[in-house]
Amino acid sequence: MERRGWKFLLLLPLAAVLGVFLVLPLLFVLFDSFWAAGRLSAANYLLVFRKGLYSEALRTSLALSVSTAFIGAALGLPLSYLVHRSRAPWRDLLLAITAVPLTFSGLVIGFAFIVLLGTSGFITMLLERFFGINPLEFSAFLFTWKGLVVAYLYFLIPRMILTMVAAWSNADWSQVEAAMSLGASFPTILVKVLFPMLGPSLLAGSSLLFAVSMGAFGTAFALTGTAVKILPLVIYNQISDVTVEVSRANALAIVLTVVTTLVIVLYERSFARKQA
Amino acid sequence: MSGVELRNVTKAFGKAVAVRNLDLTVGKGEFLALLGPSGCGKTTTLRMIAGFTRPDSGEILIDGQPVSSLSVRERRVGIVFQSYALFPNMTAFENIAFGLRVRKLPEEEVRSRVFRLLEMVGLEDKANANCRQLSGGQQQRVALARALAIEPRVLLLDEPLSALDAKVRNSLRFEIKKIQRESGITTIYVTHDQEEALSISDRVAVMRSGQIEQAGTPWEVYANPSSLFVADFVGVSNFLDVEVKAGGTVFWNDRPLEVEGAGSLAPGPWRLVIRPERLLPVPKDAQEKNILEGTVAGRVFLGPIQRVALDVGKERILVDLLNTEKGHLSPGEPLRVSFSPGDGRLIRRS
Repeated sequence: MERRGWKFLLLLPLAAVLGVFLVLPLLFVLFDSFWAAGRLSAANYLLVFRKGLYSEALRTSLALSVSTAFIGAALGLPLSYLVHRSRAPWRDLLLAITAVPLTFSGLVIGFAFIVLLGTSGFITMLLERFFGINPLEFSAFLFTWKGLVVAYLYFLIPRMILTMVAAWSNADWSQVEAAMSLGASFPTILVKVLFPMLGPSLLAGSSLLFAVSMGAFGTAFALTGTAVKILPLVIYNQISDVTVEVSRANALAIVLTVVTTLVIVLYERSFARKQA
Repeated sequence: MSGVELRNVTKAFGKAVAVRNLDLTVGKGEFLALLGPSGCGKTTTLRMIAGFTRPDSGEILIDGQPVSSLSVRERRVGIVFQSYALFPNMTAFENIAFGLRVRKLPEEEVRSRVFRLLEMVGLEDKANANCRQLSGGQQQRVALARALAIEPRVLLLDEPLSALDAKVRNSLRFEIKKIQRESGITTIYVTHDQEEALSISDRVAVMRSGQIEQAGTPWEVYANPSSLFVADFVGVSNFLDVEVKAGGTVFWNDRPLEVEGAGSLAPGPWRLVIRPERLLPVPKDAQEKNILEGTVAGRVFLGPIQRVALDVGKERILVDLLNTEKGHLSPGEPLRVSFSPGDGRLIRRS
């Protein structure tokens, strides 16, 4: 018993860090989110769901995150297979290149997209020159939430690739070969063997993509300022605008945290059940 | 008609030649063990027959039909893997039914066939068990039933028992043999375990560096190894460097020995191969031929036998004694053994 006590002592530094930098601030935010007009109330939350701006922000954030999770998974899956199947020196090189976008700050990525696809961006001008496409019309989409989907995919697809490369390496290929020998066609193998085999990783990757999209700030801010109403930008608005509404920002932050955590928990749950 | 035939098949991966000009014929209904150390090309050979790997050259025939242009799906071969490769999200029943449902057989027939197979592998009561709940041995039975369900023309087993513990391995070995004999399916069994190969197969093909070193019945391969490699890989052997003189006298360290067939050999350096169990203890005053006298250097207890290391002059040989023959032998004790002239086999030293 004494020995076990010692082991728990080793967890103390971690517990202290998590307590001071995660639990405590979160509690402050939670407490303050219930503070409106000088007293405890749920007014801030009612606002989040009633006021057009806030509920729109929640909807747009969800649309953005679901889209990036789906498209990121759909594009990341085949790409991860290509990386997995590439030969020795190329594989390492591809993995290194894949990791690069993850190191960029959101601002850098936002600026890169303006330089490429903005009104006077490189690709926009090429399109105008050769296809006569109106640069203003073309680049307008970049500053909408759909444009954010494209920009986010730049740093989300690599996350999906890295998750799935690990899944491909752990895959039991003899299951696929067994199915082939039993006469299964490729679509059957895909549905009955590959998807159940890779499904958990695909779900893990997608929920990661979803969570990152929900919370991402830098890229959206650099691209659109606060023009596109998504939760992180709206939260920013509440504390930087002329009218400072810290409690309201806190309520929004809690909503964001809950939605993101819910997705992760749901994933963990379904995965745990599959494992049992 | 042969069940499987490989004609001059070669396969290289980059610069590494895995299989080199391989010729192999497996009779219809025959049980052949492909035996060899890892990297000898036995699994590559199996995968080429299955259709997972394309040979660079040569031809493969199944039931007399060339299969080079056929995909894995079209070849109708049953495969059992070392890792079982069961579909983990399916029950035992669903695993076995997989190949039948893919073929769109009526569900009634699927059911009756699957239950017949479950019965054959002794898992009638596990039909609805999730594969993860089954033991390793049970999983491999399901895998075997799944492979047999499609009534394959050839059954290929790739080290199917390597992941199981010794007791399960032994019982499953004989079950596989029994099922194969009853179903009469041409079977190729890849293994690196010589005991497994000898006990399970009608014929053993020993592979080395992508080629068949020797093929024959287990008895032939064990008793008459055609090369030093086979003698060394299959079973345990003593190798004595001997001189064959004109007239067929054999000398081992100036000690004359009598070996059958030595008279017809070219004089020169040869190697004498003797199995440890062919060295029999003889009494002190015995006048047998080929007596080797030495002192016990050590012994290993192997259950039914004890394997004794015997120092004869400066060399050490191994002698297997049945547990009933001698009591406990201690290091330093003298021991006299002899072998009959027919039990030694001479192989050219290179």
